[in-house]
Amino acid sequence: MKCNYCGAVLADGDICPNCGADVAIYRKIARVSNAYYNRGLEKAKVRDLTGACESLKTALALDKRNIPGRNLLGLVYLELGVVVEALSQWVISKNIQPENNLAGEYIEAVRSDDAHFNEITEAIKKYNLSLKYVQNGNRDMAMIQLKKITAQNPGLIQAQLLISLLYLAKKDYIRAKRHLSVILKIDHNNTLALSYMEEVQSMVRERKGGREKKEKTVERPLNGNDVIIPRGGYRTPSNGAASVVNVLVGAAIGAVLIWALIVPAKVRGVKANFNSDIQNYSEQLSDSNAQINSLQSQLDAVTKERDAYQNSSSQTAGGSAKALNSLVAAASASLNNNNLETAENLADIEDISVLTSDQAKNLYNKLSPVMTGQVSAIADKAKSLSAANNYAQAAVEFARAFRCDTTQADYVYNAAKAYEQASDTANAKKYYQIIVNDFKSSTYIEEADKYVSGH
Amino acid sequence: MINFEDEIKKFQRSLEIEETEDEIYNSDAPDLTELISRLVEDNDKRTAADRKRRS
Repeated sequence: MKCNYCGAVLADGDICPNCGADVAIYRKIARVSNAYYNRGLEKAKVRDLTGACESLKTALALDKRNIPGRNLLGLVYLELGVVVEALSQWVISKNIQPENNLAGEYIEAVRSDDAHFNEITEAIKKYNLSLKYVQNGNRDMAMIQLKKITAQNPGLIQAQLLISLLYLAKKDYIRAKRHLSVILKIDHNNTLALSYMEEVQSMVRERKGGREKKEKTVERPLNGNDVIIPRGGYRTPSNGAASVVNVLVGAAIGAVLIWALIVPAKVRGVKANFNSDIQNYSEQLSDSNAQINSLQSQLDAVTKERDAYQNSSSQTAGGSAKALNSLVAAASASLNNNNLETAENLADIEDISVLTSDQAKNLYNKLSPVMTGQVSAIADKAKSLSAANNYAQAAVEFARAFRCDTTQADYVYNAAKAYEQASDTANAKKYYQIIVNDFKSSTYIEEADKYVSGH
Repeated sequence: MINFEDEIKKFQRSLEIEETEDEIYNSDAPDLTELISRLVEDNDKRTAADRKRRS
């Protein structure tokens, strides 16, 4: 025992050998405190944790230096699931007596199991939240939280008590009893749990009493006013013929049932298969048709391309031969010094690009200057033909004149007009189109435009 | 018969781990030994003061 003033170890006497203080009263108080500690220890051993807690608190109220009492109170708190209170007691204990103190080991043991420690602290937070829910009238939310807490931490007595109370309020006595039993296993004399258990048992007794009463009412003995209905006198025939008839009737019913139940199902199955086959064939057929259509369109496109190619090649070949003939004729006329005929033949070559060889192109270029000098002669010839109502030939000559001098809108207009009068719509349209494209500012544009859009 | 509203008042929120420090500081209430010591000290002081006054 240590002096409460200086902390020196006390001898048998009532005076501290170190500071000389009177420790007689302290001795008595410490003895009483120790007695309460012993009582608390006894209660803790028999799992009367609530009782132990009360005794140990009294022991500490008398002497807060009662280290074993404080350490045991911490353990009791831990068992009741209130970790913070337990840690607090051990920290104070360790502060009062830093050496040779079990509190250090307890603190270390709790803190070393991080996962469990975190789980407990989380459970405490959730319990507080649940309590808040209940206080705000949100019992369902509280119930959800408490179910989780009690499943994960059955040792959290406060949570067990709260959920028991909620079940009691819901009149779910079986569940309330289950939770109360858990509490009473941990803390045999938990006052609140015992009072709730008493309530549960009385309510269960009440219910049972009510049920028994009901049963008794149903099974009351017969009295003179009750009417007894006799059992029916029907007896099943027991001879062999009846059995055979029954078997036959049963077989007939069986057959009818098979016909009514199995056959339609079978027919439905066959029909379904048949429909599915038809659907498959239809799909295949439509695929094939699509393929055929696609191939046909490809064939048409290729045929068209071929025809166009053949057409263009024949036209090119024809055009080329005609141009060469005209060139040869122009050359021949030039050798005979007939400039008009030379110019007319050269003007017959509508497209110089059809002259494929370089020699032909060179020859054309050598002879072409003659054309400029002969334009007016060709135009005069055309006019005289037109005056003689020979519109077809006049159109040819005006076209030649235009090819000799492509800057003259008069020639192209006259060519178009002559073709129109000669009822050669295609050529008339061709020359009117030239006016529309290349002579937009000429006086003929309106007439040309009208003709082109009208034909 | 248990009254829910009365019963719920008995429930107190549990201390959370963040509150441990406060709990330790606030639990430094004097025990009986300290109270008696203070009483004895007060009594001694009063006796000494009386003696001084008489002398």
